Amino acid sequence: MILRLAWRNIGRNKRRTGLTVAAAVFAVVLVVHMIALTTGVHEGMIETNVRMHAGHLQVTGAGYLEDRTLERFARWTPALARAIDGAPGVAAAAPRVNGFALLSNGPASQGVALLGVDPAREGAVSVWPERVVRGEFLGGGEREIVLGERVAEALRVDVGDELLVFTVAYTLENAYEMFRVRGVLRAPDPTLDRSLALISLADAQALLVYEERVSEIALLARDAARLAETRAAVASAVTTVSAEALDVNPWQRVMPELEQMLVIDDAQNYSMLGILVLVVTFGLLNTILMSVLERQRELGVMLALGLQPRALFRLVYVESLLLSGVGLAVGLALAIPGAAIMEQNPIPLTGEVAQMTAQFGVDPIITWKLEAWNPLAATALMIGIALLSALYPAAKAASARPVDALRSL
Amino acid sequence: MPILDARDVSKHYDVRGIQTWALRGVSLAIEPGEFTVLAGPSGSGKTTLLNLFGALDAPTSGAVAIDGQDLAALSRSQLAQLRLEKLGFVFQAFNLIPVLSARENVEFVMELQGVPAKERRERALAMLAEVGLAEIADKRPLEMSGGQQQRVAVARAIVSQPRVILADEPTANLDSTTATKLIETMERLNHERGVTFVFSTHDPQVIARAHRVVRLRDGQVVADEKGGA
Amino acid sequence: MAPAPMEFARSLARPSTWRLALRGLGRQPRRSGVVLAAVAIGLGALVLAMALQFGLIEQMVETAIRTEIGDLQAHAPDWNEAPPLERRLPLAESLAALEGAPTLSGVAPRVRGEGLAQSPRASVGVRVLGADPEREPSVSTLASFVRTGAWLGEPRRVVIGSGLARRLGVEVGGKVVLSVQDARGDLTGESFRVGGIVNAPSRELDESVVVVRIDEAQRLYAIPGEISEVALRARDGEQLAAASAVAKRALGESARVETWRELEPMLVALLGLFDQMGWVIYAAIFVAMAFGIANVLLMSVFERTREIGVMLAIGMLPARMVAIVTAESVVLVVTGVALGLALGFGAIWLLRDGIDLAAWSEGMREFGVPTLLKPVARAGDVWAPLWVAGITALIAGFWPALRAVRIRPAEALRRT
Repeated sequence: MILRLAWRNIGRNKRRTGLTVAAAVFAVVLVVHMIALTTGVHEGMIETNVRMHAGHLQVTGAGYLEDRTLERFARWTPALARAIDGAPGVAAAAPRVNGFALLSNGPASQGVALLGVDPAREGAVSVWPERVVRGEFLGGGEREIVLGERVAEALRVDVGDELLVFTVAYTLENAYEMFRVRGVLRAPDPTLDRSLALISLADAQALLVYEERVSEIALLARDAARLAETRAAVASAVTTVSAEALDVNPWQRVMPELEQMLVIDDAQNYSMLGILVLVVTFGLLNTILMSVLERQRELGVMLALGLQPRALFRLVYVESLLLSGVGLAVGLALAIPGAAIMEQNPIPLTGEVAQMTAQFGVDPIITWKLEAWNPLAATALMIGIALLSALYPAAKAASARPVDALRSL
Repeated sequence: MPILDARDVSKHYDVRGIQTWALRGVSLAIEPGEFTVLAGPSGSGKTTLLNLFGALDAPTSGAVAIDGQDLAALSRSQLAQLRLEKLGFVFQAFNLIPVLSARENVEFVMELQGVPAKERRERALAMLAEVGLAEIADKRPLEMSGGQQQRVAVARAIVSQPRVILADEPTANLDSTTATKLIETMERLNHERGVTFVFSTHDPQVIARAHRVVRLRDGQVVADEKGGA
Repeated sequence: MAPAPMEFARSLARPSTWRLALRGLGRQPRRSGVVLAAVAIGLGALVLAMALQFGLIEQMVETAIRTEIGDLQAHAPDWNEAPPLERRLPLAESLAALEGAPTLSGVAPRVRGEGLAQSPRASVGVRVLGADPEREPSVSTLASFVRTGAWLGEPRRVVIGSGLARRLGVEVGGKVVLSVQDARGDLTGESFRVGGIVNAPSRELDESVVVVRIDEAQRLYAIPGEISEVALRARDGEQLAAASAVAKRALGESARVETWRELEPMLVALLGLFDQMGWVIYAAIFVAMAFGIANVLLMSVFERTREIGVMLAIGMLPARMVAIVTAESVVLVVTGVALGLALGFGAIWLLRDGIDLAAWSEGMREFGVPTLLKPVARAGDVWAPLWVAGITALIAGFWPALRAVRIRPAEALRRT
């Protein structure tokens, strides 16, 4: 009966109900799209950064992330390779040596992050091989180097030219070697583009007198959503085969800047959502309050007929839930296909904004990503709004006085 | 034992700083089965006394008891329960619930009492037939005439089998033919079912049909005439 | 009779229109109050949230400028087309030209290069900043972050970030060898001791910069009497253009002077993007508010059907009626916006000393942000809500107003 009464009551003033529902629909559409956009952009940033370099997980010598020097290492033994490749949830693994070198060509010199990578494995984890714009990525050859585009520019070298690599080896002795440029690649992040050089893992180990040591083994997980499980599996697999203590770091620890940026961005988005919720709550509150105040007399009649005051409280609550429920249903019906369409059709960015996203290491594309929790969050939010906004009007209704029923017009 | 019993009740209103005494020391007992009229000009305290008998309002001083139960001792929700079990109301301004049809309005109180749906429906239709409204059972109040609405209100009051029906100027908004028909309906119900009726009215036609006429003036009982029709 | 839009405009100009609008709203104080509260609290919270976010961004920019970039920099004319060591400025002439310029409060010559820093434990690729120990603090705040040891000054002492110290495993007094390629193309090295460790506010600075005395940097890179850049501080940060013009005149054709805005287009773009986002957010929140406002006005029009019918019956022009209802909307929104701005700016004033984000400091430092977050209000926080609110008021008021004039007098009078 309460449900029927509530349903008919909200149908009483169609225009008012329409406007209130429209506000709820607007809020739901906004919330779903905002979350979808944020999820999409964040996931894009994470995936780009993970695929660009870091990997989902990194196996390193204990404490490597603290100082990032050659002092902390893992030993890339066949046993470790087997253990990691065989760990459940691991899609690919690539060992790397992270060094630093001064590259010079005549008087031109440039400091770079010198990466030793396994040409056969690297492509499965990072996108470096696909990023080559001139020449080729590393193959089986010795003393070959691939440069960031801006590094090549600064050194005035191109594919086929030779340059000098100067660095300090693990033994803390100076190390020099001539390398031939095999390819030039373009990194989306200009800072990286200005400071990146890749050589083969074998060359790096030889140059740095590093033997079988590596700085990190970057892993790509099969399912990014189940990273914790994969991390645990890898951790237990590597402890059995490694003499040294190893860390298994998730990307959040490898790239704390990224993680923090996402957290700050989320905080900003949620504060905006909070304000939106506030505004919509007031709108709904007003509608329900008006309808309660208009019906004081009618509510009095129901009390006179023997309805319990708490039933009136419930009635108003059901009305509020129905109003927001209709708004929610319509809102979701509009928002979900909308977000799904946006997910299929990312928006390319241009101009300054594009350059800026590149600085954060993200391709200049805005992607939507609709996840199951998104409409659920919108639903929870709307129910919250309904519960909150009905509180005062419902209390007001429950305090209606039965004498009002007998007041003459 | 009287079904309704007011002992030395006074009711005092304070409307925007202006003090008004609506009732001053009224004592009145209504026995089961009576067909009583509260008569008097407007402002004499009829509606206030009905409100007190209906457990809709509380007196400033004095005590009101329904079926031996002192109202002052009851909570808001116990009062609601009492109204649900023992009282029926017919209001001057009809006061049906606008979003419910005639049948649903009649069913409303039975639903609160927990009568099963099938029985509710049968009793509501029988009741509407009894007051001559079987054909408008599915209409909403806005689609009915005033007389029809008031008869639905009577049907709603009677269907839950209350001990007492309180009616505040039930004929005030009706023409005289319709009013007569309404009073006849109520008289018949009083006679056949033994339901106690208490009206407030200043309609001489209604007063003429009452068994007992209590006259009020300036918040006091000035006459109590028994016998009558 | 004047055409409807004219009459509408004329009606809006009449005081009686606004008086009637005020009365209309005063009739249901609770209802108008809830709408006012919604607009005011919503806007107040939004203004504060925007100010906090802008405060964050501005501090990032501020930190970047203050800790290293400076307001202006002078370089060799074609400096960004080649590695820094190849495009140099003469030290003595540049200083002579710039020092004493009235619009500049700080002039700091610098040598910039790259190298490898080696400690007995590790080697790390670093950025080398050759700085003048006395002049550098007049432009950048780097010297103020010294945690242990002392700022630059003693010969053969360098200042490094705490992150770099950790990576190299050195403390104050520890030995660091800098290996670089000098301007002639020769690989060379020199050993230094750590004179001071700074807690630099950005991670990049903290983990990979070595600050060396400028004369020692010149010797290291084999560029006697020459420098890479001159960083400048304007006396008045708002008067960058004037300061820039003075510096340009002083240096003539021999150098190129750029403001931080030209040097860091990304930071400027970030600020610009934030402004655009602000409009979108204000617009979205006001659309949500518009539904509530339209609802209240519509209700009030329906309640007054009879009264409006009477007014129209006795000859009130429909355009005037539209003006009255629109005026109600404007009054409601303008009052709400005024209250909201008062709330928002009140909160900003209360938080003027900043919110301590110590718990977040680890993360915030990655962005070069100090741990004290201060809300910073901009003119846009007043203008954007006013504009958006004005448009909202007109749109939200117009529909109910049209409903009002569509009431037919005869029908309205029949209704009770």
